[in-house]
Amino acid sequence: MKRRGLLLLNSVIVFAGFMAVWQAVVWLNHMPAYILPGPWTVALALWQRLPSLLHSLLITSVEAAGGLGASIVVGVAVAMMFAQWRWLR
Amino acid sequence: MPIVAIAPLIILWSGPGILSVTVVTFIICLAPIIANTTQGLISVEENLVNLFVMHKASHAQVLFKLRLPNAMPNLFTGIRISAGISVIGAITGELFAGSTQVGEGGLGYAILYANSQLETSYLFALVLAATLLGFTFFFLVMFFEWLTLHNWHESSRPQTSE
Repeated sequence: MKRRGLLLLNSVIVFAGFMAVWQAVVWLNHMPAYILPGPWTVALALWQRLPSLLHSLLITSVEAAGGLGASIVVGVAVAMMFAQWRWLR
Repeated sequence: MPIVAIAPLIILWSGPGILSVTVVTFIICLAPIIANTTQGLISVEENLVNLFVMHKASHAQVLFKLRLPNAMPNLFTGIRISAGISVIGAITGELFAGSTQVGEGGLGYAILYANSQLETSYLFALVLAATLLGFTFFFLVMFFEWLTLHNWHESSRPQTSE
């Protein structure tokens, strides 16, 4: 239990450190938001665009899952044929 | 198959949209699954096949009761590879075969849109979402692999020695 807490703390620190470095780079180099937005700007955009983003995500996941599922079914069938008839390969 | 070369044909047949992108994803995902599953199906120990033949097992029985279970770990290796590729395939597919209607294009089209509008922060958010999707797929496959194999296969047993 203690180890798990330590692991969680560790990942939080790494995450926070990464965000801090990212923000620092943006500030120190005076990056305009259209070249490299800071983590806060990204979070804000994520929040504001959440509905359309989730909708896009849903469409993409349906496509990816459909393609993967179909390829598993067809792939196993083709592999069986390959295994049965050596000359096919 | 070089998918970029075939994409125009797919669009010609089924029009831009979800179906086309699914077909693109399907074609990209197919090869690793076929290769890995075939390898699993044909690398059954000779003695086990002989044992089945000795007991007058039919071709179908050898295939479904011996070769297919033997190929399960290989199949899941293939699925694990394809799960990562499927997200890449879907997004790449959307870049050129996705629907261009507002809100129907998926992440790939949204990425194109955000890029063209110089909304880089939204672009980052989309990349984040795509990464999340990839991880979700990967862990789902890992879960199914565990579900299927943990009762019997050596690779999923807890290590006793060492």
